[in-house]
Amino acid sequence: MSNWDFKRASRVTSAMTIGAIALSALALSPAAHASDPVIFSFATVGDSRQDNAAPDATQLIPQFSGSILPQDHQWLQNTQAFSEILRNVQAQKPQLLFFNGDMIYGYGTPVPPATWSTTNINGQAAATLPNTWNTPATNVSPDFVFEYIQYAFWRGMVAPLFNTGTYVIPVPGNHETQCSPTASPYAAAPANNPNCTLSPSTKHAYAANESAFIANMGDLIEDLVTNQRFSTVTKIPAANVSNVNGLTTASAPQPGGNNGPLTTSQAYLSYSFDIQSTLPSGANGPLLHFAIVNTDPSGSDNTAPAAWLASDFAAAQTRGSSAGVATKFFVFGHKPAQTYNYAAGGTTAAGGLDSNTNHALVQQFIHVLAQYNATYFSGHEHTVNVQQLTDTTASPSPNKPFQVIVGSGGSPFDDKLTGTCPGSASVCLEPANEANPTDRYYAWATVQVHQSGAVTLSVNGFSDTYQPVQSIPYYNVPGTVFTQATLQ
Amino acid sequence: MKISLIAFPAALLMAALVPEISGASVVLDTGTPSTAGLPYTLNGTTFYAAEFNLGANQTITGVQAFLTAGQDQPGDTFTIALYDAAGFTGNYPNQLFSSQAAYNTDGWNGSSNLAWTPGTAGEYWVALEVGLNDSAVGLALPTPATGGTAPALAFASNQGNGYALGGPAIGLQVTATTPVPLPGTAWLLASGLLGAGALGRSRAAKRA
Repeated sequence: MSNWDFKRASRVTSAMTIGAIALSALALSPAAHASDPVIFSFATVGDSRQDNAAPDATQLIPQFSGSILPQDHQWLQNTQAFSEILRNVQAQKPQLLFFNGDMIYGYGTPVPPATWSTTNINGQAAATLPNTWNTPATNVSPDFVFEYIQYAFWRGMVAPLFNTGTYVIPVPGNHETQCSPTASPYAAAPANNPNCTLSPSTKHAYAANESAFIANMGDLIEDLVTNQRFSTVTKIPAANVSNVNGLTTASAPQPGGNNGPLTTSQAYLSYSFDIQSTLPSGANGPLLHFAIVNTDPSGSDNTAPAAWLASDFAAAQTRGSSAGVATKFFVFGHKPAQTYNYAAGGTTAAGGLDSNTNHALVQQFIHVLAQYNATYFSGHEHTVNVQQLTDTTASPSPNKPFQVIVGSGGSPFDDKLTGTCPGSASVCLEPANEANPTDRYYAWATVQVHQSGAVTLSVNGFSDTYQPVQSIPYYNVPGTVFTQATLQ
Repeated sequence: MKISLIAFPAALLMAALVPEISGASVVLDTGTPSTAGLPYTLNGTTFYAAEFNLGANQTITGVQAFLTAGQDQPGDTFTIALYDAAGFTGNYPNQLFSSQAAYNTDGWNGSSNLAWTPGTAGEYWVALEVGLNDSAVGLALPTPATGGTAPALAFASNQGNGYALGGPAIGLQVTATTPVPLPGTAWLLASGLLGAGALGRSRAAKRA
């Protein structure tokens, strides 16, 4: 066993120790599980994009001189981790996979050639693909090419899911919607990316980036309305789709207030839909309402449209009541509402919505989640964590909604190894301040809606040494650790 | 003469039948998982196996795995399979038998009415898999298993690219029927023949 392997094994042993606590808790419960059939399930993960300038140390391959796999360098995906996750998601047979943003490295300004801008979406000329390759365009932006090939690669990776009964729902992340003047490769001399016109140094969301997301993901969202592929794949139709252009644009988030100072319509970026579940008896089960929020919209970086969400939830609640069934609420965004501090005892800079200086916005967002006991799934932090949020508004709800961070789809882990490894004589050490032993696990979450109406969460993943998949405990209630949480 | 005519075929019959008289024995017992690790997931993409020795003509009658529900419900099914050790970690492992089993409760689950007789003494692998006809989507396998009475020779896992050695120590038990050893059979045959001979001599002496 090499020194590198030994260190990795030590960390796995640490994980196993904590797991013992998890299983002990499980063992204390009655052995027999009452059967409660699953009537609907979905999986969720985010952040599969690679980072050429700062890959995780475990991705450095000795035979490639310590660099990452050339394939991943070219198309900026962690293909090994993400494809392993997707294989396992397929085995779980969920009807939906929500991808919580950062499917591409992006960070440029993907303005298409003028002759390709044939459709007006989101209040501006959209970056639609040409309907013929016989185009007179001769000046194509490198940022445009850079981002579109990454989108295409990611789409290819998720394509097999549709053949095995899982429909993919995309969520925009900051790497899709923002331009970063300083991120690699844009920070090359002599100047930072000049296409980030709003600032020479700060990341911002741009309409062109949002349009590129729509051009590359819009068909998946549009199909919620047409149900041409959605219902074929999932065997159940989507309904009451909100804020998809051309249908219900009146329901778009309005600029100002708790939505933040938006400058684009957010169609296809913040949207929602219903699934009416069915019990084995044929009767209606709970109404399942899914809302996707763009947490880095143009004009209002690092916010979630809380006012829009409140209105959207109220309408869904009414629909459920009218149908005589309970409504279950699920929200998917890229940035967590509450940053998880993976560096126990250390300092983790807030990277979630709580880092916005206008703290009232995230408080209002959490307030809406709490009011409806909605579960919030996010990415952005490249780790896995489950915690419960607290409503800190003046009139707080007593509910403690779950927040599930699964930004663990393959992007470089936030909790970095120390040393250089592998491919070097240097030692490779686990972070000394790891808050939980699974902080460096590639992981995804799976939610099951049961016949009884219970909604349960399981998180599965594998270590950075790519061992077989394990159940990941939920750590964050003192004194209790368990492998399956009841969310709602 | 009458007795010897009966006794001799009877002894041969006994000799022929005795090897079929056998008792159950445990040929693999990795122990009950000590709950010291994160449970591993058994699903349609990740399988687990343990290696054990089997004697000549032993018949496997039961295979049990220590499982918890994970994401599954009581009644969800998985597959138990037996492989030849030769080529097990290659691209084309030789599966000898397989049988569907169901998860019913947290603890030992499996099949107890098997009748698998590979025939040849040697090393075999027993595997837990989820096939196309199974309903399990994510059973949990606590680990590591320790303190078993018949430890595994090795563990392996299959993450989609064939079985590889070094899998986690999961809880597995295999029971088999064991034929009476050959010396005992030979003794019975010999005693039968001697008995028949003695009876024959006794009859002859009485006639004289």
